Amino acid sequence: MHSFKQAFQQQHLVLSLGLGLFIVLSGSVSLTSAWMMSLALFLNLWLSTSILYLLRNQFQEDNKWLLIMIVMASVGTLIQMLAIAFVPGWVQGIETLLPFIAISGLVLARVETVVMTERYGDIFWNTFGSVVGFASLVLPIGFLADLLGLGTIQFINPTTASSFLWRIEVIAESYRMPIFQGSVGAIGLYILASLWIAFVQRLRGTKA
Amino acid sequence: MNFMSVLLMGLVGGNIVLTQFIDITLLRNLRKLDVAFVVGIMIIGVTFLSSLIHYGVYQWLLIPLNLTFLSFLFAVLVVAGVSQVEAWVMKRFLPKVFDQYGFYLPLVSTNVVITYVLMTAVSTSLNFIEVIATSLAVPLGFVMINLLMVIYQERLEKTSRIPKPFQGLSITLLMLAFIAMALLGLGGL
Repeated sequence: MHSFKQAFQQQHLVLSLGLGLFIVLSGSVSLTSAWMMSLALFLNLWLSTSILYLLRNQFQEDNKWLLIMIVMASVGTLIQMLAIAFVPGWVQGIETLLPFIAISGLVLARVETVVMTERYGDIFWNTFGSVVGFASLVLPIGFLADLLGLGTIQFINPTTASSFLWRIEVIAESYRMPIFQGSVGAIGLYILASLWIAFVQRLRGTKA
Repeated sequence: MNFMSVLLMGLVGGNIVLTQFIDITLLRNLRKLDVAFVVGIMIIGVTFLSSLIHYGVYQWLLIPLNLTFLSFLFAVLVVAGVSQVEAWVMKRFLPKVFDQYGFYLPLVSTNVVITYVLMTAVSTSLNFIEVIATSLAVPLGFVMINLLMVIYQERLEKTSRIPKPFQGLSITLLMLAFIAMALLGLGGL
């Protein structure tokens, strides 16, 4: 549990440095995407760190990063293929971005720390802590993007993108804000992420 | 699409930083104009060379052997290799520049913009001319936003009027939203 707490706190530090912002924002386009991105991040971190832990004796200073990148990219590709095959509904719109988790600064920073310094028993909790920290940022933004952009609280069915596990319409069509969805959605997401980070910093009484 | 429209799309209307959030991490962490400029040049060079090599590998190796699912792995390897070559060339021919900015080379080899360009070129079946245009336009668009952000951040650091919770990352994201809004209007070019 100590590893979990440490990873969760470090996650906030990493986010305050701006590492991993790309996967945070590209995963926040909807609640379903945020969930899928968090799940993919967990699998990616856990599998990669486990494999790299087994290979740790092969590391030398000049080949360390190449080995890490090869393992991460392979795991990233594997997770993308599995996700497209088994949960196509959840990966709709972010399928091409899933392998990029592997080369995100957020993941690379965690992987190096975990592989080099910790016992295997701590890897799971460390990974879990990192992902909970990540999810605590992306899930609220994804939820708000759905709510303000589509006017709904919804979660897509994993097997098909055209049906929903649940869908509740909250805001009437004329009050929905298109800057949170579609091709112009980036503008709204930047604003939402900015406000959410400011809110978190206000609660914690610190500067990002 | 012709060369110029791909170029304009990458720079303005379809700028990947503003539409896909690609590598905004780097935008936040390069604080000096000279560093942003040199890193930008490195990124443009690596992107251009890597995309040509990756395009060749994809067309003449992965497609014939039916191994297209390995394209991401090859993209990462090509970028890492080209970055190493660039580091060697800098060390050999521009030792002063290497001493001053060599520290930033790992940021180039793990840069998502480069890998994104490589993957987009093969997944959207661009032809050779379009690959050249994309591999120039996208990193140029990234560098343009990067330089703009450095200038904005330099100015923001001098002001004390930003409310505390918005200082740092939060205000950076708000600025990106405004830039995205402004450039969106030029999307019809």
